[in-house]
Amino acid sequence: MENKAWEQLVQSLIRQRILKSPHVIRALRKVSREQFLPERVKSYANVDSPFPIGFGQTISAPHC
Amino acid sequence: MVSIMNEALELKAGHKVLEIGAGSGWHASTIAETVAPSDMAKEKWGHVYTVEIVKGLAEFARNNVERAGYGNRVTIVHGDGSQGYAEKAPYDRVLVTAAAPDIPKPLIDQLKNGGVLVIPVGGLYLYQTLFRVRKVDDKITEENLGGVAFVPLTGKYGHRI
Repeated sequence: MENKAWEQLVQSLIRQRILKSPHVIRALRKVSREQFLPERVKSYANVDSPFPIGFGQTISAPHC
Repeated sequence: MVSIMNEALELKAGHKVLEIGAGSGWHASTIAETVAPSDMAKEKWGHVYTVEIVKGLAEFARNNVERAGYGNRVTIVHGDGSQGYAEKAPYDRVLVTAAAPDIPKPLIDQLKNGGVLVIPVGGLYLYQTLFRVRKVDDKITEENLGGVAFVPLTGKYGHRI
């Protein structure tokens, strides 16, 4: 999925040395978070924070 | 957390992975793309089994995973993941995406020798500690990877809430 904000987030995680392995980086780049978020929080997909997904549960953040 | 855990797991293409707590299905899909890359021959693909205790979330995750194109590499099971998923054991890698009061024994039993388990351990609604557990010759070593914050693990080996 072409997504500039997602790519910027991935690059920031690489710069911080949180992401190191090429195959892990490649997979995270390819599988962006947007398509897994409920409608009401979809616009926050590229914000590095967990969000509610219902049932008292959360979707994890890319890093934090 | 997804980045930290995926690096800590030392994932390799072809791995069979067990995740406890499917949630949205996103984390499982990122692992699926790592152990079963879209551009690799399907015979060499690994697989992700993910167990979700909340029925509505298992359905949400299944829909998301199929829509994203990972339905053939991620199997979502509705059940008590604190007991692992013995049907497909043993696993190369196990990750738990909820905080456990202690490391559930079934998860260690279902880990292959040479396998890695990444799990947050600690109390309810507070910070917990992320552990990397290695199993070598049926012996367990634990490594502290630092403080984290997760929703609680429930079920037989989970928190009583």
